[in-house]
Amino acid sequence: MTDPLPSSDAAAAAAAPPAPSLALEFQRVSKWYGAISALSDVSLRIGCEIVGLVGRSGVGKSTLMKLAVGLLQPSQGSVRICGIPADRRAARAEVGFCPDTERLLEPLSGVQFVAWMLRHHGFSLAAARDRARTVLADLGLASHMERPIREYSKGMRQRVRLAQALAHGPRFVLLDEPMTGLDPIARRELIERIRALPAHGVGVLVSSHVLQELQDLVDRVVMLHQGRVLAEGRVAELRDQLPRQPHRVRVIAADPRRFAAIAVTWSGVVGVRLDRDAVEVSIDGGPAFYDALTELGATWPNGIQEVVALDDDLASVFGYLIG
Amino acid sequence: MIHDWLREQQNGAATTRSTWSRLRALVDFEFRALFRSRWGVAVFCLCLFPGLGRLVMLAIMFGVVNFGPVGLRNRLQGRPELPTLDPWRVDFYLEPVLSVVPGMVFALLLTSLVVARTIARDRIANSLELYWTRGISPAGYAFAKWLGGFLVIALVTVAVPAVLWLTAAFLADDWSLLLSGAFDMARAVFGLAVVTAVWTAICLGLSIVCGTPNAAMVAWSMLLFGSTAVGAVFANALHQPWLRSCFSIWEAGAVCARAIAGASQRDVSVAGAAATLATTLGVLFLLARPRLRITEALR
Repeated sequence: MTDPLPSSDAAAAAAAPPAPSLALEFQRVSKWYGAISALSDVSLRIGCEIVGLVGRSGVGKSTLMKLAVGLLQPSQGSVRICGIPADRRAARAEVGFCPDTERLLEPLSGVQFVAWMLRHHGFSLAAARDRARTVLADLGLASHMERPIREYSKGMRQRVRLAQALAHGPRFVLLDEPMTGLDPIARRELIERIRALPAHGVGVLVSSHVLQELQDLVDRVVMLHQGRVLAEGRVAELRDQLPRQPHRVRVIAADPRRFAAIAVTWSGVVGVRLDRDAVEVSIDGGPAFYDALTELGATWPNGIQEVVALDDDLASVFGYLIG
Repeated sequence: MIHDWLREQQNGAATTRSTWSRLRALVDFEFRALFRSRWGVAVFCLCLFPGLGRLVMLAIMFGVVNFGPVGLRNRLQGRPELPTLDPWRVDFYLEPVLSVVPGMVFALLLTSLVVARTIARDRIANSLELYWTRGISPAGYAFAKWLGGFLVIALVTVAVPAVLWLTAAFLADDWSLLLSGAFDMARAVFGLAVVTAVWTAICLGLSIVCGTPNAAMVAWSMLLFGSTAVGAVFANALHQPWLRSCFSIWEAGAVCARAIAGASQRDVSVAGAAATLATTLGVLFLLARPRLRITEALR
């Protein structure tokens, strides 16, 4: 190790060089494969934040990611990483890419693999090994880093993939299905580590098919559909932008039948469905329902036991948006 | 969180190093790959056997050791009509590398392990996209793979004959071998290096074209043995021995190497051999180029 590690996050943050305001910028980017349009007029700005990329297979997610890491040239528009055109070598140094792949170079140990990847960034062998050990230890692989990768579990492989993406100190990290194969504890740990990146000046773009995972992780989402950005923003904001789509609320009441009979008379309620011990209410999105519910709660002690919004999650929003 | 420390320690290393320093990691990796496993080391040692055999012959010829049947030394030295047994001629040093047996057999073994698997293995492991995101171009990647493989194979096909010749020059009674044979041996080393480079490139091309490491190994074996067999069939059927060098990838390389070295050979077509190698390389280049394009590699 050439220098000691900073003693705390605060010290590290204080010593960090100023981060650029924009980690990734797409300016009216289109990409065609012959006559097929993979992306159409996509504009996107990612700062020091975590952004989720959502979309079904074949909507252009993969193309967008390849453009973001400089693997593809846009047919039209421009892609910049930290202000540098994405296809420049200087931009590559600012990008960390964690691909969605099960296999790594199996005979190598975790340290050898990460160090080897670092050497492609121009680090000397000694410096690369130092950094690899530091990053892997930080990701919780201290006691396994010298073992061959073929002996690793899925979770350990995922950490190695993340380590090689972070080891050169990028400003923008692209994570493709980062939670695949992780157990709940490892998943929570990884989410915590990724959540810490923006505070250190790193922008993160995460692609995942598991929308619940994304919701726990990201600051906002970009929804792609048929090569275009369908929606962009925080999940709650996106949900609120769907006034025609009734919200569904599940209310657990002491007497569900009585509650259903009352709720159906309220303005703003467009439907009531009685379940065994709960009532599912469809509302028009305005505040009237919640106002009435508050009043009822005040006059009916212990009558309203639980209120759960059923479709404020990412999956529901995405489902509504793409029909 | 160590991210800030990583950036502090970066010191511009990722942006200031040359393309070569990035590719050198790949070259190093390829060069060392064979020696990471015991099997690899064993195969490499096995491939040194023909050279060791020649070393023993040299030791007997120059009287360093005296064993075997009585008069073995005299018998080995008394065959001036066989240039492959005359240490004063380059044929002696070329023979263990360029002969079909054992040369081709050992070369096939070595190239299969070192070169044929290399790119197909990376494709299977999805490593290609990691290289591309690190600013390594497909051409640079292929070059580094080729160079790493070439250096390993050249240890057997180029370095061993050169060391044998130096040993012979040292063991000789006077400096006549060194003085009279240096230029010819330099040509021989150059010829061996050229054909090793071409064979490595052909093998690498197959590795790019084939989907899996095993398929690449099989394709390379079939190309070497198949083309040699087809050449033999045509040469025998048509009574035109020179046709061997126009069909067989191995024979073509051997003929070119001997021609560059100025070694004795007959019933061969140097132009045909060179055309065979050039055509094979050209076809593989055309097939391999789209397979290394980024969209293809990531598919």
